Amino acid sequence: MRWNGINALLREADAPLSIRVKHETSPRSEMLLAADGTIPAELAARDLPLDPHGLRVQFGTTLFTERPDAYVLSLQPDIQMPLALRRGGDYAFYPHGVEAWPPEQRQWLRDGFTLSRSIGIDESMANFHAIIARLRAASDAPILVYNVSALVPGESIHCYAGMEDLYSTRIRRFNLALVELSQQTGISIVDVDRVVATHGARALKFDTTHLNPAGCRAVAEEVLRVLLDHGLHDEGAWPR
Amino acid sequence: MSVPAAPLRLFAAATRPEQAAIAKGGELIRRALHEAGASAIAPIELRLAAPPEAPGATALPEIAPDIAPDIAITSPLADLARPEAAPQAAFARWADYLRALQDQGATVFVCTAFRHVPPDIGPTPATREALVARIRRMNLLAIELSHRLAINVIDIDSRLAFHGARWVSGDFRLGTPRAVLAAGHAVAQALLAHGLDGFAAPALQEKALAWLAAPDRLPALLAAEAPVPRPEIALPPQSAPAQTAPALSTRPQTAGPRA
Repeated sequence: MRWNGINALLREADAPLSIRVKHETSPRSEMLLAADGTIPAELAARDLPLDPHGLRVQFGTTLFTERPDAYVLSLQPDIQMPLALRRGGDYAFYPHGVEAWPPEQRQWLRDGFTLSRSIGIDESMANFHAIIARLRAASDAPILVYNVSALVPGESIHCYAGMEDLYSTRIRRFNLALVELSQQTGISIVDVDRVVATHGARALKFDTTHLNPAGCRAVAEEVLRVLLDHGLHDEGAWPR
Repeated sequence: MSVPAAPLRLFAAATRPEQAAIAKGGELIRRALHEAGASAIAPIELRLAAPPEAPGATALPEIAPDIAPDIAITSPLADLARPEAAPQAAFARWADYLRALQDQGATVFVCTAFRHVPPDIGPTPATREALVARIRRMNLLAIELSHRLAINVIDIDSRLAFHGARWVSGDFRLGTPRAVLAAGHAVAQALLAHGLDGFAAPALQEKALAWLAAPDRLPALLAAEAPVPRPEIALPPQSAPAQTAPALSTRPQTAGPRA
């Protein structure tokens, strides 16, 4: 539990409220749906260096047990997070930082798991439909989903023949699928892609994935705008 | 340095601001070749054709038979003036058109559109969001056409998004000189990266491309331009102003539309 930058925006506006943010690192959508709070015993018995993607978070059900005023999810894990699938299909997990694991742990992973590099868009959106339905069954709180900036710094491609799996194209496809999901379910999109295009990737991004402090602030402004649009607080009552 | 063998013939079927960007791209190619040490640069002949922008219009401009361009540059941006077609129909229509351009011997480039739509567009935020989504679909269409037909993409969208709508003072309409210059920079870089071997020696092209692609090149070029807020974009002059190299010529073509 910690505070994040969105409250700096509220303080600057002299807003008479604070937003309490509970962060959970998110695995891919199929893991969110499958989690029941039980950590597979063989994983629990190993001291895998997974922070900040610890097993409690990867197999936890906090998303479905908390009752916040708003939920904020992201497409990013589904776009870029690989999973390790147990041979035999028992479970999957995110082997965060595997390249830095001790050799015997890496060997154990190679011997017992296969790699799922990515999830298909249709499967991902079906999972999000199910997640949204599950949240809506328990709460009327608005659901926000981050899209991802499709700007890949340094990418300079002029002919895409033979490049069907390009990362920037995958992001573009997911972002468009999210628009359809929004039309079908009424969830709100935090349009990170638009925010970055407005201010410039040069000014807001460190690399393909990570935003710098100015980028985080710009996205927090967008989140606050969407929350206020949902009527979570009467902005008109703020001193100016 | 070696003398170029032939003029570069460009055919541009695009909206007027995009035509201005393509003309700017031609100027930048010449400037880059000059900076690369070219002592003589052949002219760039630019033939312009505006796509029909009236609601309900469906025709796409043909290349006039007498042109025989080296490069054809087009864009689906004018489609925004029409009701959106289903994705498969839009793909089929554009694939047919681009194949026809390829069949005429041209190397084909398709421009993307900047995904930024300002708040004053449309009566409601929903209208604006719908337009943003449509532009994103259009840009993905350009990439999928490139997958299928091996045509080239001039990613104006990514170039402007890298620098930001605020910095280039522009949006999907390319309505400012800064936006036109940034888009023209994308045009020039894409054409040089593809290769213009009949027009300039390969070694010169490489140096010119390196000059254009330098990280601070576009900021420097933009800094040299006066920031004018949102004027109407006019077509480039029929004969370009005197520069360090022979002029770029632009001529509208008179060929009829292609159904």
